[in-house]
Order: sequence, then structure tokens, then C-alpha cells
Amino acid sequence: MNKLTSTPQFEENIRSSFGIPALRPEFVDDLHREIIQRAETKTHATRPARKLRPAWSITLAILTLLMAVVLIVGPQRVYAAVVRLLGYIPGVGIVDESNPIRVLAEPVSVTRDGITITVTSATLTGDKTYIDYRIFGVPGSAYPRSENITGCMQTEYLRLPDGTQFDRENYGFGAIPVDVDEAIFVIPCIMNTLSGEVPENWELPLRFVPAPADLTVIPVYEEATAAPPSDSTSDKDASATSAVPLDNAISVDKVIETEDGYILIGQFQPQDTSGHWVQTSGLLLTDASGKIVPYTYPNDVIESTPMGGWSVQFKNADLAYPLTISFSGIDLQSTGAETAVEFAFDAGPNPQPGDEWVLNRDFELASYTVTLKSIMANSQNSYSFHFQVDPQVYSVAVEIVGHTANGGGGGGGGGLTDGKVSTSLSYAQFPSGELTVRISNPVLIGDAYTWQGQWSPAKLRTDLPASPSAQSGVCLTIDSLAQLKPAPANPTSGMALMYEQLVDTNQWGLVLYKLDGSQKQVVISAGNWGTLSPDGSKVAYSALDNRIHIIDLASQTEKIIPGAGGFNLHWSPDGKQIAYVGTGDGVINSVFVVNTDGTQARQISDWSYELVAGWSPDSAQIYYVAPYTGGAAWKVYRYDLASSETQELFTIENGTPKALNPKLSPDGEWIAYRGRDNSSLYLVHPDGSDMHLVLDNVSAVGIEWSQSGWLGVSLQNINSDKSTIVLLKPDGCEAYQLPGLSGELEGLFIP
Amino acid sequence: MADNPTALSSKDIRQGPDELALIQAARQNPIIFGELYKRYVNRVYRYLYSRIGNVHEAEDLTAQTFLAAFESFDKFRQDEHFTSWLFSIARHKAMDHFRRRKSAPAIEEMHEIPVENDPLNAVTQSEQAQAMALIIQAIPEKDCELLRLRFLADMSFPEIARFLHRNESAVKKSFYRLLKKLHDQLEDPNE
Repeated sequence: MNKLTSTPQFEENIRSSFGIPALRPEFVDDLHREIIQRAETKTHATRPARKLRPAWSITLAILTLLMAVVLIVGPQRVYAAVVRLLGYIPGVGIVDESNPIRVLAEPVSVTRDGITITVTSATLTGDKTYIDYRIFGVPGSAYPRSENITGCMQTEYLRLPDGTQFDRENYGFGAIPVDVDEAIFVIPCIMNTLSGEVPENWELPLRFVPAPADLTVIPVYEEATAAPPSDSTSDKDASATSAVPLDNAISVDKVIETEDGYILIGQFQPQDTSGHWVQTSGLLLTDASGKIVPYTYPNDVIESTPMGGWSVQFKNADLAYPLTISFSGIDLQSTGAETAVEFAFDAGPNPQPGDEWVLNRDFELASYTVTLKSIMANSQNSYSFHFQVDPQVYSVAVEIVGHTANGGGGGGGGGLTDGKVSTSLSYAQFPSGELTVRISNPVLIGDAYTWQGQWSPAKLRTDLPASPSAQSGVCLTIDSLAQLKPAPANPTSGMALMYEQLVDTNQWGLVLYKLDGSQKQVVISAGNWGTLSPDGSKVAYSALDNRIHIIDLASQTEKIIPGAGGFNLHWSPDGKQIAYVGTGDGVINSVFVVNTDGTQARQISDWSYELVAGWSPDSAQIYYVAPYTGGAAWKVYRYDLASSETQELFTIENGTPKALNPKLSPDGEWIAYRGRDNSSLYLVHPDGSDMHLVLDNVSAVGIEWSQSGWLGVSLQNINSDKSTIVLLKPDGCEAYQLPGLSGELEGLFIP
Repeated sequence: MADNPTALSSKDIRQGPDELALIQAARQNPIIFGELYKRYVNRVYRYLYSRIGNVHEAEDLTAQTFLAAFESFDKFRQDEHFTSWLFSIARHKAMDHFRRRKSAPAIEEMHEIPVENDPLNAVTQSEQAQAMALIIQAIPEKDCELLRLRFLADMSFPEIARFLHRNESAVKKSFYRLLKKLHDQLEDPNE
């Protein structure tokens, strides 16, 4: 063996010697589901409460052996209030009320070397201490750029006067004794920063006082479980003797009466049969009239939601009880790894990303037909395998014999998605030459199931409005979105720049359309962060190598702006400059500006992780935002190009910690941005005044203004990479849908 | 692996399968973290199993690792260092596990713990792999860790160097010396 190389077989021996059992698909799916549910809680994206996933709809239509087993859970369930020990504080969560609740006496700030840490609030309960704090002013240079160095990983803690230290436990700290009314909040170092680059060992003295009398603490009722209903359809296991039926898959465990509705927290525990597992869809909530009840995920009860549990928040208005809580699922059954076929495949001596082999080869597995349509080599030393399978088949396992994959994805769908299945396998090195591909273990689609539970409040509340009242200034809600009409001829004469998957390819690119979806023109097949020039004649975009390109749409000529690289591009109103977010030496995502001929490129900010909001109408000033660490809030700044002065304007407190996506209107009057629920859209004047909600919980993502004052927004569709595009005039709420478009909105031109 | 119930939005994968773009997309849309999870779950599980030696506990720690990573992803800023960050969490989880148990299993125990009797989990080893397993049992823990990171966690040398806080060329030298040593011992068990 050469001292610098070893054979693949030798390395495979080493790998095999560890004897690692294969990862169970059921475990992978369960954990994936948990992560997605937490993610959806964070995004507050609307789950398919309005409709079943298209895949399930197709399943219900095509499967002839469908058997829906409706397990009615507890119609005689009682909703009993137990001794009140738990309370719910909006924004904090479910708290133990066994001790008097205390709060922070006053916010505490410490500033060192231009960095400010502020403890904004604290809530002390019988079992937990919650501390809310924010950090601003950490320069990009404080974060490591060297491959050999990692930043600070130490977590903050509380230190009591007697020296006792409380480390962080998930979302808070341990309960501070009732006779202790002060503590030091210690931050050993700011997360991910380099040692010595910014001040360390921060100590903020905190003082606690009894909570004010008007602190909102809402009772939390724990559901009492009734005896199983005599007509329930139970599992065939006759040995069950517990009070809870084996088929009692859905439970409501806690109920919170909010100011306009309820929060329900429960569990969903479907039974598994050995060798089978069930892939379930999200929660569907309907009322007694069959109406789908829109809901959101209450972020502040995550900690109280058990693993595998669910929690929803909904408004009471216009609901008929009982509510039905439904989960749907498909039984999947593995046939086993021994059900397999192998075939030879020549990948050639040096496969490269982009290589594709069209095979259209049929295989019979467990008497089902599996057609391998093609194999494609991708980046990350991966191959993707594209199948068309029998409608009864959900997935197949794929391996390249003698090569251990280090990762992979996809793989499911099959009969639920028009028979299409794709699986990818990635390797440390590209397997090459003559290979043996093994296809095995077809997972079969079994019966479809629906689990349903019902819930009613113990008594009807008289403190809630019967009908929802319209909120002033809100142009669109989930309900009104469904009634939107298509846009009339004008403004459909305009253009929209969309980012979408290109037809019959796996690539995403920028495509220009008329607003009615006609006159499609692929601008660039491998670029993103596109933006239309103010006169609609050019598109600037960020190429895959991060360089900024400009395409003239009429001549189709393209140029690269020398020396400029980044994303989040914004044309100046006079079309001569582009503001963008770039990364340079010691800089992580700060704002730059450059002339379109590449001259006078300069950095104008250094807070890190900023986003450009837009330009003043006279092209003299640039508006941008900089986040508090973690996105707790965003500061809005204005930079004057002539004087190079920066002015802090105001702070956005209710923006999403994720992609705020701020956009200044061309007339300079409004900044649109995404709300904290990651779904709503707000407007605010550049001086911070008149902040108000415009789109309520509609999964707003892309935001673009036209010169003529139209606001275009792309709304992410659930479980889809397509969007719904709406066009509105915020003043007066004139609003339309653009049904001919479905990508993500990157630019809008309406003369 | 089951179908991802939430397909990716167009804005979420800006540069196709490029991991850096995926990480940045996940920062904007937490649901995309599910894609990172799918890329790494096998590697993290293999690494943890090799340290823990028990499927159930390895699964449990794998879950803890990803949930912890997901919850702290807001604070993660070193986009190029995601692998070492994720495996740092995994290693901490493993260390916490051993601390709770007050003892660490001997390396040889990993190979004696029975696998569930399930064809999906069946592990077959060649004679050479079994011979290699015996050799690996006798090497120092730091060398074994190097093998885990390279062959089970599938880390690149820069990633391993970052993870171990060592110089990359030193890691490479150590690694290839180790391979040669294993190779020689396999050829001549009496060496």
C-alpha cells in the first residue's frame, strides 16, 4: 500500500469492521417528522388544514382497496378542570403557578466595545426561570473564518448570591428559590465568536419583583380521559384490559382558553404492527359543520408539547362544536432486503456531475414492476436513481454493491406521487467503472387510515365574539385569500421575474413572464437572487460563483460586474448602482454598493447578517436592516452615499428572526417585511411609524414593489415548491391573484 | 427513507445540492433543516453507534443531536463548518451519556452487543472485516476516533482537523500512518 493511498476494498473492510447495523427507516421517518413539526411551529406555516395533501387526495382517488378505519375517540370525553397548578403566560409558555410568579424589575443593559447585551425580561415560576435577552453590535470579524478554529460554544448561566449556578435547561433555567430576588446572568462568551475578538465574561445583575397584578396568566386545563366508548373500533388484541383503549390514538391533554379561542395540546400515538409503519399527514381540524378550522402553531408551548405530540391555536369565532381532530396515514410494509435484483451498470472511468444514463429498464420485484428510468451523477459524489413504479409500490432500496453510501435522500412516493420515486446516494468518492446496482426491499402501500378525535369545550364561552371582526388595514387573511379574483388586463401588462424549477430539469433559474403567465422567457438557467432594473430592461442576478451579472433583456447580452460578489441585489432608482449583501475579508454578509460598471465598489456596513431594504427615490440613500444576534429584533438604518453617514432609524420588534426580506417601496413611503410568525406581512413608514399588519398568516415569502405602487407577494404553498402570487395596493386593499405564475417572485415591473 | 412531506420551496435551495446554499436556505426556512437532517442522519448515527454500541441508545442520541442542532441552529453562523459543529454536538451527547452511565463501554463490547433479529438490521461481515475488527479493538482510542470520523462520519480531512483542533496535514499524516499500520497488521498478525 502506498503510504498516501489505500485501496477502496481495504477502506471498506475498515468500515465494515465496525459492524454498524443499518439505520431503521421508521426511526428516520419519526425523527424527520418531529423536526418538520418543530420547524413548522417556528414558521407558523399553515398545515393542510384547508385541504389534504395532493398526494393523499390522489391516493384516495386511485386506491381501490382503500379501507378507512375511523377510530372514534371518546365521544363521552369529559373536559375536566383539575386543580389549577399550571398557567399559560403568552410569550412565555405553560408555567408552574405553585409559587408566586416574579418578573424582572427592570431591563438591564451592558455595553462593551460597541456591543450591547440587554436582558429585556424575565419570568420566574415554580419550576423554571425564563430569561429573554438580546445582543447587538457583534462585528463580522468576530466570527471565525479559519478552518482550524471553532468559536465559542459555552452557554449562559445564572449565578445566585450564594454562588449556586443554574445552567440552561432547554428553554430556560431552573427555578430560583422564592427567597432569592437577585441573580447574575453570566454569558461566558458570545456564541460562535472567536476568543479574544470581542469582550467575554459578561455579567448582568438581575433583580426580581412580584409580577404585576395585570400579568396575564391563563388557566391550563388538563383533560381527564373518560372510559372507552362502547362502540369504538378497537385493535384485534383482545388482551387489552387498561382503561385506555389500544386504539385510542389521539388525545387532547391540555386546553388553554386564549383571548380569542383556544390552544389544544395533545398526543397522537398510532399503533404500529411489526414490519409495518404508517406515514402520516399533518393535523386536520374541522368543526361540526365540516368547515376546516385554520390554526397556527403556538411557539411558546413547544416545551410543554410531548415528543410525538401536537399543539394548535385557533380562533373560536364561527365554530360549531364538537371539533374533529384528524390525522391520515398510509400503512407501509417492507418486503425485506432479500427481495432484490441486481444489474450491471457502467459508470465509466471518470463520472462527472451532470452525467446521465437513460436506462428505461424494467425489473420485477415481489411481482411488482419497477422501471429504472435513469441514473444521474450529481455533485457531492452522489448518484440519483429515478424510477417509475407500480402504483402499489411506495419505495425501493438502492445500493451500489461494494460501495457504502455516506448519505442519501428522497426515496418515497411511488404510487402516491404518480409512480415516481427518486433516491440519491452519496459517497466519499464517486464509484466508477463497472458497477453492480442492487434494487431491493420494495415497500408496499397498504391501507389508508384516518384517526379522528373529537373535542368540545366544557361549556360555551360567552366572552368571545361569535363572528370574527375584521382588523383595520389587513388586506388578506387565509379565508379571504380563497376569494381573490384574477388580476384584470391592466396591470397584467406588466412583467414578473420568477425563480422556479425549469421544466424537465432539476435546475432552478430565473424566468420572466407577463403577469398573466404568458410570454415565458428563461433569463438564466443557473442563477438566483434576480432583480429587475427600474425600467424593466435588465436583470441583475447572482451567479453560482457568487459574482453579480447583468443581462440586457432586449439584446440578451450579459456582463459581469467586476469586483462585486454577493446576493440580495437592489437596483438604485436611476439604474446606475446596485446595493447588495456581500462577504469579504472578515465580513459576513454586510452591505456593499457598486456602480453597474464595476467602479466605486464600497462596503457601507459592518454589523453582519444585514439585509438591504431599498433606495430612497433620489438614489441618494440606502436603507438596510441589521439583526440582533439570533434575530430577536432588527435595527433599521439609512446610509447617505454623499456624506457616508449612517443613521439609526428605529427597531423592528415583530419581524421574523429568519428571512425578514424587507422591501422599501419606490416612493420611499413604506417598508414591507415578514412578521414574527414567518407568514404574515407588515408595513411601516421609514421613520418607524404606522406599523400595521397587511397580510395575516398567508405564508408570505417573496416581496416586490412595482414603480407604480403595486405590492407583489409570493405565498408559499404547503408541501409544494410552488407559490401563489398576489398583487395588491395596500391603501384600499385592492387585491388580485396572478394564477398564471407559480414560482417565487423576484421582480415586478408594472408601467 | 420516507417521502419528505414538505417539499422545498424554490427559494430554499438556491444552488441545488450545494450544502452551503442548503444551510443558508435552512436559516431562512427552518423546514429545510429537514434536508440537512436527511444528509447527515446516517453519518451521525453510525458515529454514535460506534461509540455507544447499542442501537436503541444510538438512535436516542442521534435524535437528541439533531433536535439540539435544530434548536440552536439560529445561533449557528459558521456555514462552512456545519459538519464539525453537528458532530461536536453528537460527541457531547455521547460524553453526557457515558457520564450518566458512570462508565464507558470497552471498545470490544461494541462488537459483542447483539443486533436485533430483524433482516433490515442484519449485519454481515467478511472474514477480513472481522479480522480488522479485532485489530481495531487494540488500537488507542484517539486512533479509533480518527477511523470513526473518516469512515463512519465520512468527514473530509479539513473537517476532521477542525473537529479535533489539529492541523490538517498532521491529521492526514496520522491517518495514513494508521492505515499502513492496520494494513501491516492484517498482513502479518504477529507484527
